[in-house]
Amino acid sequence: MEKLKTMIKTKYIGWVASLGLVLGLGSCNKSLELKNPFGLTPTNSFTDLASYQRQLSGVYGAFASADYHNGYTMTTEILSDNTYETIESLVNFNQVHNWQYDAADRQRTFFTSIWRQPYNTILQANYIINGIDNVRSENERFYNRILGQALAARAIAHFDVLKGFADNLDRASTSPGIPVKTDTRITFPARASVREVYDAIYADLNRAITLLSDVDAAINTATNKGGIDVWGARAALARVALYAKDYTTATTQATAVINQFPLATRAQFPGIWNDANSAEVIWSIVNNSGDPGSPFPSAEIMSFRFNRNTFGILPAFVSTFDTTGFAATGTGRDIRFTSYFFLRNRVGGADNWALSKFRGKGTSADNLVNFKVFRVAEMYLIRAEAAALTNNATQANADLNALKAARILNWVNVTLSGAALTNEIAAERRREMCFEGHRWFDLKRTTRVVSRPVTGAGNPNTQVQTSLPSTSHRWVFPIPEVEMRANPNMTQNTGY
Amino acid sequence: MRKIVGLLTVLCALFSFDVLAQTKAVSGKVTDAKDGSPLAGVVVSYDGKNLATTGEDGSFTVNVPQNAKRLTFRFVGFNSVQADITGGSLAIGMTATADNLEEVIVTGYKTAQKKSFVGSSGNIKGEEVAAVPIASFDQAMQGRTPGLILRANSGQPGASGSAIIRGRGSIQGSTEPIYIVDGIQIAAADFSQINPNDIENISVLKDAVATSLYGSRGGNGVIVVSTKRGSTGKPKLEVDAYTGWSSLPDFNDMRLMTTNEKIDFELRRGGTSLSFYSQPEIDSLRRINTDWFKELTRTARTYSVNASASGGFEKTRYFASVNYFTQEGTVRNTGFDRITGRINLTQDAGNFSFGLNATGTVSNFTNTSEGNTSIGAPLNAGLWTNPYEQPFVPGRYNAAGNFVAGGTTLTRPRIAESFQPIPTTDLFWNNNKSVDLRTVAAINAEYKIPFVKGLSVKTVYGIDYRQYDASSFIDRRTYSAGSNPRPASGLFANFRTSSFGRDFVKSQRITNTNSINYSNSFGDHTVDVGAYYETVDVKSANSGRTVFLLESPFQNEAGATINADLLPRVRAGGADAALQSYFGVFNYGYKNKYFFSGNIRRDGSSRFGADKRYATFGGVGAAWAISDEKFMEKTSNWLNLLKFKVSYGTVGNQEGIGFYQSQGVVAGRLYNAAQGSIVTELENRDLQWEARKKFNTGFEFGFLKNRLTGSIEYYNELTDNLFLPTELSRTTGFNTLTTNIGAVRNSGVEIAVNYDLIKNRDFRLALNANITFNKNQVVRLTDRDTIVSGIVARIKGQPVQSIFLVEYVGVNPANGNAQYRKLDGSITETYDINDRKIVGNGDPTYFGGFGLDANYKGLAFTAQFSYFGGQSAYNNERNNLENPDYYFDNMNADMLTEWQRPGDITRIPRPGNTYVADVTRFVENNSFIRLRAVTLSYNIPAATLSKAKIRSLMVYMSGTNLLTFTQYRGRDPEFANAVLTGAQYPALRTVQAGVRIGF
Repeated sequence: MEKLKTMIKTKYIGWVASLGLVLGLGSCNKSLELKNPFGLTPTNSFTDLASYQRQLSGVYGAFASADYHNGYTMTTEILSDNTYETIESLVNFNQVHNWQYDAADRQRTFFTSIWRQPYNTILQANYIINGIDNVRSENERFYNRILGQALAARAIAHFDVLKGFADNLDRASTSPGIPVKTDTRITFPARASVREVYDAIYADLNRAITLLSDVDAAINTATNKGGIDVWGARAALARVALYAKDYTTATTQATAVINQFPLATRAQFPGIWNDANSAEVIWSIVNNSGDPGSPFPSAEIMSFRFNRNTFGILPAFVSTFDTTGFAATGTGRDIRFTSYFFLRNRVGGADNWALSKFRGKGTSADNLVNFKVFRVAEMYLIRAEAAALTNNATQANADLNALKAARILNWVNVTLSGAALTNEIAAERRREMCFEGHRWFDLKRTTRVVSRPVTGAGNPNTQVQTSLPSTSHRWVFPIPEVEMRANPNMTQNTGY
Repeated sequence: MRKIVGLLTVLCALFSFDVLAQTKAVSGKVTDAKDGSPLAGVVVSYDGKNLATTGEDGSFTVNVPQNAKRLTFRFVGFNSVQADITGGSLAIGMTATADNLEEVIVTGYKTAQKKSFVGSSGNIKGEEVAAVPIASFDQAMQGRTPGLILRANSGQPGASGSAIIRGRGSIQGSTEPIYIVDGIQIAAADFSQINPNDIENISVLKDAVATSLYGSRGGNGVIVVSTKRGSTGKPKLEVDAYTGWSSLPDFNDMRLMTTNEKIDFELRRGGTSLSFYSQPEIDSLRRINTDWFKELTRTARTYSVNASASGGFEKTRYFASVNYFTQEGTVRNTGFDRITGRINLTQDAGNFSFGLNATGTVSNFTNTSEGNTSIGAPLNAGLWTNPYEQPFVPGRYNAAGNFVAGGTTLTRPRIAESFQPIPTTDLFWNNNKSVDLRTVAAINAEYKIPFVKGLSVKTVYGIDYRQYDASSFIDRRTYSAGSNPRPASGLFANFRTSSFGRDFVKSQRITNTNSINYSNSFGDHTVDVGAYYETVDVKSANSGRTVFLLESPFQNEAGATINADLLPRVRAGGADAALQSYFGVFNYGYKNKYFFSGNIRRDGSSRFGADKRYATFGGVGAAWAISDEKFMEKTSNWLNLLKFKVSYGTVGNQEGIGFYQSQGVVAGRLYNAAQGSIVTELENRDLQWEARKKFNTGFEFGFLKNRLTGSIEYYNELTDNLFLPTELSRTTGFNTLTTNIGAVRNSGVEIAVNYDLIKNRDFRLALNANITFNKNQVVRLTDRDTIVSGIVARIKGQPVQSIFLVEYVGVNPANGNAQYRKLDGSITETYDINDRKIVGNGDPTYFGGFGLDANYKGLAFTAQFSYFGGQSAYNNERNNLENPDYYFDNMNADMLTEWQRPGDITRIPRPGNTYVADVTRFVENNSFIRLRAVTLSYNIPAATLSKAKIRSLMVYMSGTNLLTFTQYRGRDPEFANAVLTGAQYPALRTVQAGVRIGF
């Protein structure tokens, strides 16, 4: 009896001891709340104005994506009549080039990217716009400087989507526009009408102009135009208003910018493109060696880094430049020609004109160069076009001649009228802003006529379509199939 | 030595001997169940008291109380045996532990006799793995055990394969099982760091009960590797050395164009550089016929030397080894070498026992880029560069037919006429190297609580530490150097630069498992319970930089040019993650015939949001040894074992999502020389564990005196709360968000059979075969019915890796246009994406292996085949060789049959017809049967050797992947995806010869 009792007791002690041991080891309940050593979270990132200021790098960084201004903005040129596909092409965009795209978006998710990436820019901006009021009292004018840029960025990004994916771009158009995104939540928005999208864009830009007119410190310097300041916001509104056929606003804003920025001289002009100077530049995406992502605008057209000229300059476009004297001296009368193009020699192949507008900084040939989003030359062309279309031929001729005089040696003013005037403004616009991502959209909003005569130097296998009928649904980009699938509220464009 | 130990044991036994009133004598003999040889030194005990040890002849006699019913026999390296006292002489057969799961789950975890194990597992012996000369041991497991899909992705020396147990249970989440080496988890990418010769046994744990000991980590199954340990007795020394020869396999059923074919083809098409050449120039080109793969590859050599020593006393055992392995790649400038060392120690000290398993490895990789479509990758460039180009000499042939060197200017890359980079320059002038230092070490300690029989506490603490230094040199003369910056000014203004990148990575995973276990038997009842607490901490950090070099004799930082244009690039990253689990395991046996197991656990992971962090999982299982029932006595003459088992449970999975995915990520973003922030990942606070529900049932059987053994099992596993990228409206700025939606089911049958066809003293012939039929299907996708990702679609009711394309029905002979089949069956020349349908499955629907093992008087022959059936793949390599828009580069010779005039019957459409790649034209059946390993060996008879004081001597020859039967048109049908992207490095085909000596 006595022995049994002891046995129970020792057994009991053993159990308790070992249980205690395990629980002792186990009771140190670990914290599973681990912080990312190389990142913040959206909830702990924004605490003061300085943190919102830092987020502007995210906004501009999103613009600088290869899916946006450092790549696909220029890639839209391959839809236009400025280019043809060469034998060097790895045909990664030949269905885009030949207007054979559809909602499936099979080539490098091109349309998905130019649909999504501006919205990523908008998201980055919305983190600022929706939170910064909490710290406004810290410094009102610093607040203005940050919020003004964010609002302008949001407006510009909305517009860049709108111009591709909406059909009728008139200010009062009730045709389907794009979703207006003003929050950072995951939503499945329907398309607002074009007019509603414009309402939002105008509101953002007008507020941005107000805010950016009263800031604590300059956003840009004489040589660095990396941010959207009040002039950038005005230039954006001028461009938007031109597309919207709101010629009053376009003229007002273009005039304001023109009065602030002189046109570059012929001596300065080549230096704009290799970043030797920033004459005329209102806003550019600043690209530096070592920047994240792909700071190499236009590499899909002419890659100097890999020596591949995927798209050449269509001879029919080359011939529209005044190249008098070019062959003899190497400096044509039109300073743009030599700044934009070069004759590419190929061992064993035909020579062809290729793009050097984004060759690189200084004498570098590496595509690493700033992408100029707004230049004052565009403002002249906007005001000229607005004037011509509002029966102010005098102003239109004056602006057109001013621009030509700045570009073409010994330019003698010409006075045009009627269709000749509007055609010449369009042609000048094509020459001035070629490969900056405008040509296709200019054709879309005006004539909807595009033809691309077959050239001898292209890949004969890939040139399957040389013109697009004005009635084609492909003037309006397809809403990507992935968006249609994900978003039940989305409606597809006609024809896809 | 053994005698002294035996004596000590007897003394111990005597001292602890209690005087009992009434006793009886029991005697018998203990033998090794394997060969019947007597076992000396076996401890015979009754009721926890040691009574005696067996003598040299294995015999024993003990006195036990009159009412004693059962004796226990224990011996190091063998399973304990409990034997009923029958009254007569006892014949005890003991089996070595390696044959059982008990030895397999070595560290920190429960042990189970195979018979009482209710779960599902497969075993692979270490020697089967060591025989295959592939650096990464996992690849040797292919075809060895049912349920395991193991496919190599690369023949690059040192590359690991891809393992899936019982079907693809996740879509975005990881499908890789976890690998446990001596109780410590190691990463799959690092198998090449483990010496295959050290492996005693690999166990593949499949169902919810078998994997329960690994908590939440076990959702995809567990592969448990146990390394060798010493055994009591004379020290054993073994040296094994072999050398091998590998070569690149040829294309199956396909070839590239020759120079003449290609030149004629280009001239017929027109538009390429050749159109601008004169006739003499063309004629001179026709004299060149470069076989690019001959330039890029070689007969590669492999050398391996392994030495091991093992031994021990009764209380101390050791195993130590050192291995040197070096393997050249069949592609030049690739290779792998490794030195590993290992020490395994176990020590018993009264109620305590300790163990240490430690291995250290230094390895060097040299590799080339693979698995991509980059034109700069040498393995692609080898296919695409025209045969009329020459290695290293860019330039052209002039009108006189003389070669004129060109492209010397360093501002341009060296590329061929077609602008395709020459493969040899990128392969030979660029280098990708890494030096890997790795330690896997674990200590374990167990304390048997003296007061309570069967109660013990145990702790295992281990670390898997890895650091590596990866460097990459890109020569400025190569295509890859195009991305390097160039100085804007100075002597080398606008020169291309070389670059040298170096990345240092260190990662550690610390696993700590503490447990309390109670194991005892009461009459007919055996109970085995355990409570566990486990933490796993993962920390990783990396930092790297790239410097740029101009003209310099150095290929590292010593040659760096650093100025404003050529600033070094720096980068760094890192992550912390933790896992915490509490779990309990319960095993109960009744009459050694009925067995039950259960487990429950609560797992927490730092990867999930605070509300979703913890989840509870668990499982139950039962087994019934039917053949032990009285009513089966009549069949016992032919049916030796029949066991039924069944189990069900849930396991979680957290692998496959980012460490901080639930929180969202705001990362650094440099813009305009200012460092700011950018939101790179949206938060999802609702992210939670994937849950795997696993059902398993089956029979294990043994017939004809266990000459025919095997198992048949049925499983059904449902993964719920799948990690899946929910397609977002792109207006969020992102494509997808990882969420828990949908479910995937895998069900199947596994059969494994071993048959000793002939078994006598001189000759043994054994056959083995296994097959698994797996049905994989998407059960639910919450948002939509279909998720299309490239050419693979996830559709409800269909396999996860369904290939989803429009059917190609050949060429219209009238006009040369490609034709497609619409969903209604009609034929059209217009490609419509809405005509896509499921045309194949990227995963096998059945797979397995079979082999034979023959042994005649020391001469042994083994051959092991593996096979995968019912799988297809999209051959993107062929797509790029048949894309008519790429006719400036070399092509598949099939293109010579391109449609040219009405009436041509061909599969290749006319040039200029819109080329659509996303069609079934490139879907191929990549099922295959492969002679994975074959070995012929001869053991020199011991009598001959004894004079030379050699214990054993074996010479052998073996081959790996020597034969492959497939319809796939490529170099190697074995890869783990539904698409062969490109730049394939085919599996090594190796012949080797070696010798193994034991002292």
